[in-house]
Amino acid sequence: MKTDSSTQIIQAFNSYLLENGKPPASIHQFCVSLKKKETEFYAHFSSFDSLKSEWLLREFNDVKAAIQGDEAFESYGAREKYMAFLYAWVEQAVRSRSLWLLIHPDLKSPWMHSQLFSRLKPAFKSFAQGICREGTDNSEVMQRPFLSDHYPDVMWVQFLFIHQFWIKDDSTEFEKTDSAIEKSVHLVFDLMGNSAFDSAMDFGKFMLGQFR
Amino acid sequence: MKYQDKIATSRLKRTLKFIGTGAKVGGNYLKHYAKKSLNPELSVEKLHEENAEDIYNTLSNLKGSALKVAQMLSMDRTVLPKAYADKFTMAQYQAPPLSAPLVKQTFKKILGKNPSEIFDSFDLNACNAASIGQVHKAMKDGKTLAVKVQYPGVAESIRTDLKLVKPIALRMFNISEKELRVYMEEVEEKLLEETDYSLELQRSSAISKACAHLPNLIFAEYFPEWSGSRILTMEWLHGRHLDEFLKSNPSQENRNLAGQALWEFYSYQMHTLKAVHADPHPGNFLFQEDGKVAVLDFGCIKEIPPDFYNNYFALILPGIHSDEKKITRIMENLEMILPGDSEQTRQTILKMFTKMMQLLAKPFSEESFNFGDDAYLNSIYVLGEEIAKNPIIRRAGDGRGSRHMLYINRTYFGLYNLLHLLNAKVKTGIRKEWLEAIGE
Repeated sequence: MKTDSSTQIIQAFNSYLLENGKPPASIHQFCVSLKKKETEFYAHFSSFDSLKSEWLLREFNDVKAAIQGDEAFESYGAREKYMAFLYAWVEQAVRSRSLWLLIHPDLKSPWMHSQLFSRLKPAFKSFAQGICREGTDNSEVMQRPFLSDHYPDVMWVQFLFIHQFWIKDDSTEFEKTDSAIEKSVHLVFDLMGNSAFDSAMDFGKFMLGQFR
Repeated sequence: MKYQDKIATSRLKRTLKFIGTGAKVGGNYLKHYAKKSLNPELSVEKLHEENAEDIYNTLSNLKGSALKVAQMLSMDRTVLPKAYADKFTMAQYQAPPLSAPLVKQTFKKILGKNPSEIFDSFDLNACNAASIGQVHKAMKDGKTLAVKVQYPGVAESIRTDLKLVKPIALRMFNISEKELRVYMEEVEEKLLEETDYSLELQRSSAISKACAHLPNLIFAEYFPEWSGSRILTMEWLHGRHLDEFLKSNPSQENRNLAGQALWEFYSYQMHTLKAVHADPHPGNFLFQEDGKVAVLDFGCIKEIPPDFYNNYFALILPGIHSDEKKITRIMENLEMILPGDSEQTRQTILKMFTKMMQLLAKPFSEESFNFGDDAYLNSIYVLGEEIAKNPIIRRAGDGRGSRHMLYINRTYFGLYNLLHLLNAKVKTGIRKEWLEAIGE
């Protein structure tokens, strides 16, 4: 099978990282070892960070395609779809755990690294948006003024949380990560759904009104 | 079945849940006394019923260990007011399920495949929840299968859970700390063993084989190729749970058949295998229309050491209860009487427990025994209560008697209770091979 040149470059970069434990010193050096022209690299990526961000996006797309290819997926509600995604994400990540651990230092303060997530984040959020829309249709998710626009942001933060949790997880077969996914998704969807949250808000607004 | 929206997550949250129940139970007592001041006729039974409801709701949300403690305590009906016991018996049948994606994920991890790749069909919705896992129905080559899937991380949460159950159990069940500790240790040991499905597979297959020749008992076939550390696949067994079976109004003949099958099952375990494999808990059996009994669940094995066996079963021999010397020796061997006891304590314990053992051994002294007789079971309750309330025995402290004794007594009591519910007449007389085993 012939792989296109951007895929080749990503694979070469990842193997370099795995074998040397650190990224190549420069793009020049990397391209020499690849026997490619630097211009070919720049045709796809502007830097190693943009290469990594493309890899993240591709991982995401693979996972998305995998869960959507599963016949049971369509029968799931929004909550289960999102869970299925997270389980599949971790399953995929386990295959390249060494790589993830090497990249991990870059991910330590994820929200600071906009460059690294520049491709993954919008893709994830549009996926999350889709799930929320479905959830709204079958009333798993409540529409709320202002707040509902930020549901995908909440899910993004939770997604990063799960990923970090998995990186640090030392339980056999990452059992704890499974529990973390199950429990945190329930929490997030309970909050987004019809819950005590609305009553609390309502009561809060009422009480605020009393003190004015 | 209600889908579980929230699984109690952190230790804090679980603690809060228990406190919540404690408060609610306290509230029920207040309500009870308030009502009682208006209506002195109000029974304590009613209060127990309300409490049981609240405790049950909390426990079933917590799942795992807490559920197991409830089951254990529900077996020991002498400890529990009746309402608690009834409510807890339900614990075996229902607990909220885990999500479909997690079930699939567990399959991929343990067996490397999706359930749909392994089976011709697989129902992602659990049809039954056990204490540490849930059961799914699957089809393969025209066979119906039951697939047990374990909750992730169960083994780890067991200790924390049990610590949390302790204070509330102390208050709720009104038993001493020492007595409760015996339960707790046992539950912990059992639970940790039960989390290992590979071990369960091995043992279940072995015991099924060993007991296969017993009449009117049905054991499942196990499938090691579709089982692993957290997944256990076996043949789907047909039948009804005890309460549904009884509702279907089975004939006396079939009640007796089922009762006899259970009696043979436990006798064989006690006297031949010298190991007890399953709690005589109603949830562990399915009853079929023709009186056959399917055995669902084998917990961990309780071995009966030969020394204990000889002493304990000597107590069922005819005429033993008039031989005071021998009884005293046996009670000493069983650690019911301790060397440091005063003469008064000694005499009281001897008297009470001889009475208890005599009562428990009563079915053995007759060719056949009618367990449907309310008076018999009731007399055990009454004597149990009397022993529990006796000031001298109370002062002597609990935790007497070896743990084997506690376990075997409970097994027999559980069995009698099952047979009582079945209203069965069973051939119970002592058999020659038992006498040989006991060494008389």
